[in-house]
Amino acid sequence: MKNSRIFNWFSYTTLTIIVALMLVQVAMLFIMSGKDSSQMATNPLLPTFPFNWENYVTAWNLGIRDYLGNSIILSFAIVIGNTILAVVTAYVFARYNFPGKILIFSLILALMMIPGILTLVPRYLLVRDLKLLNNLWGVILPSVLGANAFQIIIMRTFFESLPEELFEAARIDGGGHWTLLARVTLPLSLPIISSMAILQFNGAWNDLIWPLLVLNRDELRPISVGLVLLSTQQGAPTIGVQMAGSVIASIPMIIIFLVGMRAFIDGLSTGAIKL
Amino acid sequence: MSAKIQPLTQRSSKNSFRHLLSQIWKNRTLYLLLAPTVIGMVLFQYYPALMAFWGSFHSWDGRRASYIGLYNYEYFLQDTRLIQSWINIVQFLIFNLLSLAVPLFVAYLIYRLPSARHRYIYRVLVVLPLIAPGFVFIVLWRWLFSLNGGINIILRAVGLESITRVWLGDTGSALYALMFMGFPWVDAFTMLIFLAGFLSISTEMLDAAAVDGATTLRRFWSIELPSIRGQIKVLVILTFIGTVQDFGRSLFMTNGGPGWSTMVPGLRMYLAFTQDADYGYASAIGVILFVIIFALTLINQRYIQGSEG
Repeated sequence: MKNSRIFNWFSYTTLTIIVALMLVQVAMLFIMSGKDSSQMATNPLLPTFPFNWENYVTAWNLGIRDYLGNSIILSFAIVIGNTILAVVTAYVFARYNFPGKILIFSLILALMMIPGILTLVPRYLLVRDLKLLNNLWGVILPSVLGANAFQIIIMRTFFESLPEELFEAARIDGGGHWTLLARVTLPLSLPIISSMAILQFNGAWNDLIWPLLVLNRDELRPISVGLVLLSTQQGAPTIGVQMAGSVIASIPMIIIFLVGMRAFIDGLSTGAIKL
Repeated sequence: MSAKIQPLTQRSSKNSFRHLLSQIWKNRTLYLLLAPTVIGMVLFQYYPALMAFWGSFHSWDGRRASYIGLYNYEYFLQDTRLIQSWINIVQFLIFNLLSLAVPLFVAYLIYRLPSARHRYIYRVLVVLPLIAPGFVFIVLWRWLFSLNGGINIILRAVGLESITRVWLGDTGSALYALMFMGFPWVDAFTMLIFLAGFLSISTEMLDAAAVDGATTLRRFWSIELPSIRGQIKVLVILTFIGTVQDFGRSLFMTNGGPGWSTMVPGLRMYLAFTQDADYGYASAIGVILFVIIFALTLINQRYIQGSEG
């Protein structure tokens, strides 16, 4: 069915305006990251020259360096740990029958009904009793072992859709669990696994409340907590420095976007259909 | 797999028990593979969830606890200042649910674009802002809302000096400022989910509608919108769950203030926990929010399923 010309004209205009409103906010982060105090006072919104790259040095030395390193460690540990566990779990549920399968999977499904706000306080006390406060493991362990139900469910659905003949053939060739998982399942599922991993990375990188609770020592903080506290504390650095820190905080997502955007969008779209 | 059929005799329960044990032993590798997930799930999810219920009936400082029955819940009901936080969360809920219309609208327009290439380009453009992590926008919008920040500069430039204010410091505007923060409220994930729904509509149905001479509007209401009912349902549930427990904005933008104008129940819980070390009371608020989320999800599930038939 063809659209009328007016409808097309309306669509392109509206979409362009909305996208522009979103992108302008991202652009502002970069524009403002190059301003010193006087440029900020006279012309805060438009680009000004010279562009003060010193703001980046200042932000880096104000602790962003440590925060960035912590965030990278935390996010990678969480993504890797979570992906391995989710893949193994989803694979077992997708391809095998065993006593208790329905019960255990129901327990995983039911996790979707346990909101983070219910478990926040006791989980904090548990981590305290495990002596993991002020320790990066206090952020990594609950996140990795807390079972990401959504991820497991999406992957299980996908693994179930893989043709049984492939597994049969591998079994006839004498393949065990490991071969079936590493040689058959993984190669066919890389797009969905990588898009789940990117989604998870985004979540871990953005997490604020839990690291704020668990990591009290400044040198352990991830960049989310570090940057927000830096901008709200007494005697906060100039807006230019805060924005420089914000741009630095965006670098990993920029890299992921450049490398894996197509996989990300496609994977998310297929995952979304399964919802 | 060829399972032997057991004759139904008195001994069968004993035999099937033995059969079960042998099945479990045969599959021991699978249980080993699942063990980390199951143990982790019990330790970091089910145990804390049960502890929250337990704690809500106790006066609890995190080390010692004494049973006080329903006191925490009674205290919660008597805390008249909390009424404001409920009014606020209801406003957030209504706003967040209504604002789902924006990504839906964007997804619809992208889906209706005449070229696949353009559809792809706009899809990328909507996802592109994700390169800046969410917490960065806390920093940006705190500045935009400040006295000499972006919003007031623009207002002065267009001659609306009279309505400029410290947007987050004014009890009349702070809550609405927090809602405005996500402007233009197009969440990329939400948009992609709606778009995936639109793109999976079968073309035959649309062709049939075209033959019948259906207008764009008619086609939208009668075919396209009903077709993405599943996506709408999921996103409404996720928005409910997300909004009821969210307190990040209130915490980092205004700390619930000025006064209690941006207080939400989740933040009250967080403050009871971090400032008052009143873990029993914090747990009670957590339980109440859980019950609300649970009830809303069930109602939503039933209501929309009912309308499907």
